[in-house]
Amino acid sequence: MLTLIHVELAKLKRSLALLLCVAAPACVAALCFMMALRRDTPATWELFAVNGEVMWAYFMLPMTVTALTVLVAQMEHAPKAWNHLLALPVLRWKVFLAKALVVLGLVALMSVALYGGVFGAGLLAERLKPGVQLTGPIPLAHSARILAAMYAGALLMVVVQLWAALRFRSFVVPLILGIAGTFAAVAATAAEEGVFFPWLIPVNALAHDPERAAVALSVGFFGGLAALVAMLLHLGRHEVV
Amino acid sequence: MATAIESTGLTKRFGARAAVDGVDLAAPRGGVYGFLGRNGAGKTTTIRLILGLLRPSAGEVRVFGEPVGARRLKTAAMIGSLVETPALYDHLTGRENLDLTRRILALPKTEIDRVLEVVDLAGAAGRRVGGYSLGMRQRLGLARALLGGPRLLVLDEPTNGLDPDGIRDMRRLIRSLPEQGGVTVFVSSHLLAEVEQTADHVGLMHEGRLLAQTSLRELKGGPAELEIEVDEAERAAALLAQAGLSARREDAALRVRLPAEWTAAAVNRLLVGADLAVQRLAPRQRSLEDVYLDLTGARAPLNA
Ligand SMILES: Nc1ncnc2c1ncn2[C@@H]1O[C@H](COP(=O)(O)OP(=O)(O)OP(=O)(O)O)[C@@H](O)[C@H]1O
Ligand SMILES: [Mg+2]
Repeated sequence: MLTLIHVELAKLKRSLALLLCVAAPACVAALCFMMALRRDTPATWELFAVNGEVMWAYFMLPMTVTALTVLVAQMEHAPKAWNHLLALPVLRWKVFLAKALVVLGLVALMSVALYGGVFGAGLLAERLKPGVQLTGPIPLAHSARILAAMYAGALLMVVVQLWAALRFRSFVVPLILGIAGTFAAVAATAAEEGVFFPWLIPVNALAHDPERAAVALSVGFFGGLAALVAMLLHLGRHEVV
Repeated sequence: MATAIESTGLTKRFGARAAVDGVDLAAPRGGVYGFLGRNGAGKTTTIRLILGLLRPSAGEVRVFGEPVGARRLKTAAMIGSLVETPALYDHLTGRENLDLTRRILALPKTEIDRVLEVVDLAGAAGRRVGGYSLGMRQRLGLARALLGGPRLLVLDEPTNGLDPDGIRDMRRLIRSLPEQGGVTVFVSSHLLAEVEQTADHVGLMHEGRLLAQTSLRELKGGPAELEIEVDEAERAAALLAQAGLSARREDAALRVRLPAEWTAAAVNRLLVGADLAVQRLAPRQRSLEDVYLDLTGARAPLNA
């Protein structure tokens, strides 16, 4: 299994997928930075951090997961690499598990990068423009908790997107799924059923109602684990045509 | 006969259509098995079944006696394969591509240098595959199939996209493998000449069915043929037909299949007796093409 993970990591070298993982959190951080510069009235650190988290959860995270899973899957689909990879003496479900773990690892890294990026952007803005003052305590621990919850809740969305991306040779299906999911999440944020909607679940980490947040994140995390098992069972038996 | 690949009633349907239909393969161990068929004959589908990439709709395949369906890990460990276009990662170098498979097969790093040497690609191994020519990709794909020295090599149209030099090299390499290490090579092709020059055994696929399977020598044996150059080819053909001989036109010459009771001299007598000028009359070994055409009925004899 470690070998397969190592192989998946080696494939990322010089890949677009890796570039995306740097670019996505950097985009959010850059946006936070510019917004801080433009503000005339003083804001709190807490508000500043929440701002970044909202951008991440609503839009950047689902779109990045969509793009990342498509890139990682197309790496195999485009050259028909399954012909070779799945003819090797390894259990198929392990190949797919390695892929899933690497994708989840990348999403985790992006969350960490976002965490550092947002606070870094705030500090940099304060330093560059003396007028900018972020007040109150820097909510390091709180922010880390929120991002971790978002990450755990995103498991279902990641697995659903990866499944679609691996299952279909064309990238159109997973792309439409991801865009539609993200759009629906933005359009129907307040919906009661949002706690069951994979693309909306991470947003619930910011919900004021702790009960709602807990339900949503459990659905996302445990539903994600169940979906992962189902994906491995399905793809492990899927024919390579 | 101990077989490297053996299938019984192997069938693969896509929807209602059978791409592979009741195929009984028996590829002997050692030597080169040429798997011949035109586009869409079912070669690649059969190869996918051998590799366990597809599950048969009916029948089964065995590799060195092990069923592919139930023991895929075991059979896969004995096979090196190259299916259709070599599936390579463009953003990685040649060496990095090989290294992925090397890791999975748990081989030492020296193995990469060995296979690069075999396909004569050591010089380009540090370059990204995205910049490789088709021929270089094909050779890298072959190198990857050779990793670990598998007992069975399954190659799907390995000369696709190669220039004449490349084709010659590939042929030489395919021929040399069984001689050096007792490897069995199962190689598909739609080119008769290629199979004729490399294979010991031949399987002829046509519309999903295995029409013939035998040693190349036997397959080409069959009844003798005469090549005749004569003016007024049409009249000559008609005359031969009257005598019960079927002739077909091949370029400027006529080809006649000789049943046992006929001799070349008798044919010559018949033609000369009818006032035809026979320029040349030569016995000719049947080519694989003749066999193929006979079996598939792709081209009817001239006077049929
Ligand atoms: N995944 C698939 N779905 C539906 N039909 C298929 C599929 N794969 C192959 N076929 C059909 O099965 C038949 C045999 O295809 P196959 O690729 O095995 O032929 P081939 O002998 O390899 O041809 P070529 O020389 O062109 O590579 C074709 O008619 C093809 O259309
Ligand atoms: Mg083919």
